[in-house]
Amino acid sequence: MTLANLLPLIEDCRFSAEVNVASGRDAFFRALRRHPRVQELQQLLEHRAAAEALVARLAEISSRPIDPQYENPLDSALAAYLTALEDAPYPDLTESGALAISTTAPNCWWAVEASTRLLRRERLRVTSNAVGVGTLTIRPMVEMRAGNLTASAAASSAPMSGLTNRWELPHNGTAIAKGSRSAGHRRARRPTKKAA
Amino acid sequence: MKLCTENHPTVRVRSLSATYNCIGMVFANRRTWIDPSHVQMILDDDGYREVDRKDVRPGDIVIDRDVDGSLTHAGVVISNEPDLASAHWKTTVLSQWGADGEYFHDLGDVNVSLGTPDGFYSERRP
Repeated sequence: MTLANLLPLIEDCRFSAEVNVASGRDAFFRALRRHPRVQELQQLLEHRAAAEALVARLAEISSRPIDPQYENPLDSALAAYLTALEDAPYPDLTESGALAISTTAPNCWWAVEASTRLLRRERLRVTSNAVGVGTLTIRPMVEMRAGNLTASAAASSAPMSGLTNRWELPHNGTAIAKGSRSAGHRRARRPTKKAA
Repeated sequence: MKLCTENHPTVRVRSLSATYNCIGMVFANRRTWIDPSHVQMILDDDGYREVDRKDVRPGDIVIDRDVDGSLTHAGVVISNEPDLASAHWKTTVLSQWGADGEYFHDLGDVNVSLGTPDGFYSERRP
């Protein structure tokens, strides 16, 4: 199956229902990794061009407008994309995807969980590699240029044209974590109504 | 709901709310999501004790675990009756399946992501 055929299946509400049966974070991400569609996606990501196309797609759908009364219908799909990227050998693309979600995707829960975890890990990696600099003094910057991504994202049905945003990881992660609840009271404010 | 009833034809839906998860249904009056990692603390703090299958009463709690032993699911026992024909207990449970709704189902007849029954707990005093 090609990437163009696979992505609509992951963005379908059936996929969301299948993985959202999990009751907690660990179970959800375990279910994601076991899901046949995600495993197919992981195989496709052996090629960097596919990973770049996936990041372009991720950035495109994460900024899609949604009804703010409801949870983001693509929350599970975004989390799946990020999980697949996390298991692929392209940390730069994984970080780009995580930043796209943390800065643009509204009303997400699982996707934000995944991106926050990845960004914190990346920040730790960067600060631990710093020489003569205290912790939290280096802020990793990632630049996604449309040209870099769209050139290899031809297979994507919606290339990320025109995206020249520059994101910066905040010092203490508060901006990323903003709106998240404590682990003991997760989804306390999750919208009660499901999108039709 | 259709997905759940396709794979588990004997389950009956009670509600399709996604406001709470299974732990929130059992311990928080259906008001919120609670991560399964907190369940052991709740059981200890509230004085729950493990009970044998034969001593299970409606209102007691069943806990499910994954193959690696991590707690994945919880439900409330609705009925627990001996099935003389098969020499087994027939236990009906009410539980919330993630964000996919709340169902009446036979013990263990849940999505694979929710694990398998591992023990019954009760706060009843002898």
